[in-house]
Amino acid sequence: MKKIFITLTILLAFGFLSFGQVSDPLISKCAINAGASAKYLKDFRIQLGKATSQNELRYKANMSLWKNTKYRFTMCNAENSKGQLILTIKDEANKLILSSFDKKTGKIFSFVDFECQKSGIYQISYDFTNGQQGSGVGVVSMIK
Amino acid sequence: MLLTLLEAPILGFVLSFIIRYIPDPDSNIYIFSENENIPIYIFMSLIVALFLGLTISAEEIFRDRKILKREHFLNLSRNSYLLSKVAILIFISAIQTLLFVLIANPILGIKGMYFHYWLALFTTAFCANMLGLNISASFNSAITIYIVIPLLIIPMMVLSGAMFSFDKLNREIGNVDKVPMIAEFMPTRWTYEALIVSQFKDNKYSQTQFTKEGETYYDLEKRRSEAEFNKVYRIKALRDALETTLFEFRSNPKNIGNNEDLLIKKSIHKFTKLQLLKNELEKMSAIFHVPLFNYISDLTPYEFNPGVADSLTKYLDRMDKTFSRISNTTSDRKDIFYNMNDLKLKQIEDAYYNYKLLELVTKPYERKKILVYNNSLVQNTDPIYLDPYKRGFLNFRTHFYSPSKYIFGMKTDTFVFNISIVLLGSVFLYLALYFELLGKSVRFFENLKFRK
Amino acid sequence: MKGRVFLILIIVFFGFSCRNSKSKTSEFVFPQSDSVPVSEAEKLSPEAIADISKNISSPVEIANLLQTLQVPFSQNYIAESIDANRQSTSFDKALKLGILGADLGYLNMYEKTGSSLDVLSSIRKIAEDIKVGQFFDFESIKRLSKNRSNLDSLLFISIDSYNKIDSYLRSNDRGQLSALMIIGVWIEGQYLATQVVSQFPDKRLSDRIGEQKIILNDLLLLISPYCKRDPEFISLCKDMQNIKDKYRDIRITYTQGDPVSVEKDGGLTIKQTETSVVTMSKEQLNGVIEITKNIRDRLISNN
Repeated sequence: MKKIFITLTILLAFGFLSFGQVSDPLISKCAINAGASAKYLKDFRIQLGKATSQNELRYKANMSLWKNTKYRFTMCNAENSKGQLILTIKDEANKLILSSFDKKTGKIFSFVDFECQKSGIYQISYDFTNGQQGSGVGVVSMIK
Repeated sequence: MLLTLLEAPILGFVLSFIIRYIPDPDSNIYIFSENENIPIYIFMSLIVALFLGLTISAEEIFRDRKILKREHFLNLSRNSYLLSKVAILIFISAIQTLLFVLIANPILGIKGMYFHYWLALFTTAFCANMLGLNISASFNSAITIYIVIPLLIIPMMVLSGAMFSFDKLNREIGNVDKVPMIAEFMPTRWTYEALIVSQFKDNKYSQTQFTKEGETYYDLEKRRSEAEFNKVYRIKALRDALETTLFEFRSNPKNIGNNEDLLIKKSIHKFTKLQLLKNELEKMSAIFHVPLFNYISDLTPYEFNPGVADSLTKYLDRMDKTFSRISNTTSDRKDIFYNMNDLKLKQIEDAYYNYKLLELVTKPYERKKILVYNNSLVQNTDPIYLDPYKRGFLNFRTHFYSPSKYIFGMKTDTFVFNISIVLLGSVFLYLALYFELLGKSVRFFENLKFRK
Repeated sequence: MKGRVFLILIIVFFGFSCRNSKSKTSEFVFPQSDSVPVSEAEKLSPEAIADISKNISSPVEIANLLQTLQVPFSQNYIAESIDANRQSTSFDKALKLGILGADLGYLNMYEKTGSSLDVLSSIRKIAEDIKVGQFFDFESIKRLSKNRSNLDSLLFISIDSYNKIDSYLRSNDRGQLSALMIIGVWIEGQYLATQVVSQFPDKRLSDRIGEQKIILNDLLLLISPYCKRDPEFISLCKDMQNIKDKYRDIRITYTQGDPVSVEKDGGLTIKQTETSVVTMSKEQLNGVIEITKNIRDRLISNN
């Protein structure tokens, strides 16, 4: 009888499968990057291979942004990412509102603050520099 | 005599009156479904039966010892003496438990099922009677008898499954997928489970027919629970096991390149999950009537390869969709019927269905809902909806709150089975009494002491 | 001997009188057909639904606005009367899950961690009931609630759990439940905003209420495939249509302007100069406030 119990105990110790959720560490890091006073709102997880054409940003999502709110868009790259994550936002009329990549100076911003005054559904697009393969996270937070 | 008979209804009244709980502070209406004390009531009523049974029988034979000594030379039948004692005790226990149930159940709004409650309580009391007779026949002093009584009652309370959950006990005693062996000897474990399962499964609401084909609310919830567990936990575990097996396959040096020497050496890397996969796929197909995986015979260390893994992945995806469909349609059918009859059903639900009991028998807050044990997967949630997997001819041990039991290859209702086991145990106790087994062992140990 | 006979009689008597029989089928109404009507043609593609579900404003945003306006917290807005045990159909459960999720966001933003535990346990029970409990990391949420300095993680886990539930329901042919959850969140957020604006009439808040017109169409698109499904859905669709009617005459216009960008601390700040202007009369606002309250109170009252 005791042998059974001991075997049981050993099996139990190695045996059980748990169903825990492990939140992505990159997202947590990115959310922390947004600053102490930033309040998490949403995140986008982007994984793209090499681009065939380099015209449009490939990852697209719609998001409603409301006036009288200050949003912070934080970009974080995964370690194995070749390209750096860049963001553009266009409004419903497809007009460019902002981009985290300054084409003239080649500067890439790791975060962009947006003081919204026009409520609407905006098009949020992500891609990686030069259409390269990349993996990253874009976090949207609210700031004061 | 009068006091003996009054004891039970008084206790019944006091107990039920105290725990007649109404959660809403602004309401005076008692709603059965919302009384959180019902499961505890079931336990306490069995303990009351236990106490009553023990106390009225503990002194029975002891009291007669002088008479027995005197009449010893008369060579009277021991059997008829004992049977007469038993008959009286049966009579008193039956009346006591009857009065208890007749007073306490109505106060707590437990409607119907009087026979179930009475039978469970009576069986407990009767078993306690037999136990008490054994004690009274075996010890030489009244004080010893009264010391032994708590030694009996406390383990029966602790190991009934009501006070402490069986899966949260000391690992030496506990068991992964069955009730601990030591608890199987406690009559309270059987009668408590019988009443809980019966109250949950056989009440008027659970037995309400929800579909034209005759499926009841309990049937629908059970089917849904099975489909969901398979989909969310079993299939996921099998997918993980498959991934592990594939990884082990790839790390096996035999499979890297075509080196003849290695093949000859036959150094098979141990496949840890292959047997689990095979067992579970067979089980899933047998119990839930889904088609068996076509290449199940290839789940051996020699036959397994990425092709088999690919087929298995597709099979698991199909099963996922099947169970999803079953769960969704069952849920929809339940909702449709409910929407068409909501007022009537709500009334019945309030009066016959208890939420705390539901929580008790479905273990919703259990963190580890699935366990791996002995190359098979063990379900650790919704025990009331889990039929035991058919085992050997005489192996009737299952998890706690099982809705049915298997014995002699047949499926039986838990209530019937449990009560029968306790009655059988009582018969054994009678035989022990007749052959004075306890008395003889007590005297044996006493003689041992003297020899020192 | 007499005792034994008496006993047997009692047993027999009880055996007959208290046997549990299945309820007579004539008492109940059974459905004619088994299948549930879904207008397949109108069903949105999973991508479209995914898009819409990302759109709906989070109650966190409304709470953020309230905090900016320095509106104090009030327990009265929380749907405390929701009894997790009494949600009978999956319609009820999914809707309440959304409503309670909105309350959770509100409580988290105001850091009312004590009250949030009650809402959390209701959410937990309801989530288990519709078999999505595995997506809720209750232990982490409870732990984070107790430690006030972790607001962001708390928000993340709460919102993330809901997103996971949403995509799971959609990918498992239970899109109607996901739609209900989203509508629940939105209605409770609306209720919050409209209740507050009655007491704190700030233009920013009333503008936010008026601007919901922008996403109202999407909400209706989300739920329209299921409107003929059963009486509960029919009723909800009617409610949503009523809300849309109240918004009909509220106008949103736009002023033009180019964004102003400023570089600061390695990051870019864009100030939008174009604005959206809400034209809404007091009556129109009151109409929205009233209908929101009525619908929301009816939805949470189903006892």
